[in-house]
Amino acid sequence: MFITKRYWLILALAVIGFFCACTTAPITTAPSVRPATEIHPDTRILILQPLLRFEEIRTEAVLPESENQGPAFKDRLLSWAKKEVETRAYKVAEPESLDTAILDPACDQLNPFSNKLARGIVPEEAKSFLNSIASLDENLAILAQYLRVKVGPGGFWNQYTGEIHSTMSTMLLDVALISCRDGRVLWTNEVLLRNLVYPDNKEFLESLRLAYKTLLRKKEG
Amino acid sequence: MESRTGRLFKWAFLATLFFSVSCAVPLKPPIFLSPGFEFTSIDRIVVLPAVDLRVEKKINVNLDKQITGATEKIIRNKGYRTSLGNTMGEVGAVIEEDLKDAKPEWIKRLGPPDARWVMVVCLIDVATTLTFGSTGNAEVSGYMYDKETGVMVWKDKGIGQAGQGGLAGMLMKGLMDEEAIGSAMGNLLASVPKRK
Repeated sequence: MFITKRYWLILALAVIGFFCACTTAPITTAPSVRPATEIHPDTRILILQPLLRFEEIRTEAVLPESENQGPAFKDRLLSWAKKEVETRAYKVAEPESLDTAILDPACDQLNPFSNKLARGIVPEEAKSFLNSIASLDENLAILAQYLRVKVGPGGFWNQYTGEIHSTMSTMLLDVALISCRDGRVLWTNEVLLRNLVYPDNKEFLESLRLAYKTLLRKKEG
Repeated sequence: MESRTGRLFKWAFLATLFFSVSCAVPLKPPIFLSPGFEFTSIDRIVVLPAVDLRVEKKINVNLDKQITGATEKIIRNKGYRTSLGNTMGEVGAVIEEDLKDAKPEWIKRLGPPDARWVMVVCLIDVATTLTFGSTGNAEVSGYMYDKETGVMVWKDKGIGQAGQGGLAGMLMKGLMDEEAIGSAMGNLLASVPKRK
């Protein structure tokens, strides 16, 4: 009888533990994001190449993109951004439809600033490149994406002492829409995923969905 | 002929030596140390208010006590003269990029005007997880600047992990963030050498 009671107690604790583990949300959106504003209906969105940074959490040493599925992450970010933008009825500006002699160098020079642009920070040095893009079409806005992956120690359990650790790896995605004409930040969002996942993982896809959740639908003129 | 007491002392000495060598904490190399910079050249370090750079700010952290105060205490225990700077100076709100890519003009406006060596510690992240037990993770970064020359002289990162399994661990969830931050602070400042 005593054994049965103890068995039930252990089972109940295990169920509680499992329940708690399942209810811990690994994905967080930043509360500090800029509130969604209405975007002019004529705005055409130019999706920049996403900037990725893989780093070791302790030393900030940069890890090679190629060994961390960098190209697959870039493809996923680009295709998702295009889908989200089109779903909201905005026009995506295809680079081929613009003067590439002006566009390509401007985009190349903007790319290193994507870590700041995607967080809604427009450095002075980036403004001239934005102006170059605006000279092609003043209704253009750039969509900057920055994915910062920190690779840290993983989970750990010492069966003798009962000491446990959870993974320290995180993935932080920043996205922002910036008007090329005046460098005004039209929209920005930030999502933190406390896990290290593949580009096709459902947690990563959920992070992408959350990142674009606050982008307002185009207001029909 | 060696006496028994002599042998005992010899073994005790060797055991103590072995123990002290194995327990000595090696100095962690920092992520960045300015070429030619010597910690011995510091007369006083002014610890500026901690900066909260977290994306998720669900956990309440006493920045003054757990970050700024802890920094000042650890540095003081290493033999440096320290003081708390109550202001970030004329730089306004600080973001990570300001600290990482600090320009000389910006550094010179950081902290109290009379300070030379200023240290800023940022809380990057802190999280706790409840599983069958509980865990805590914390990440901090630190920067030290020489205002006179307008250069960054030291930069490092600290991470801390805490956790305990079982029912006792689950009950301790509220303490995990503090423990993880404390551990991260120790890890961060391990690259600052003791002042002789």
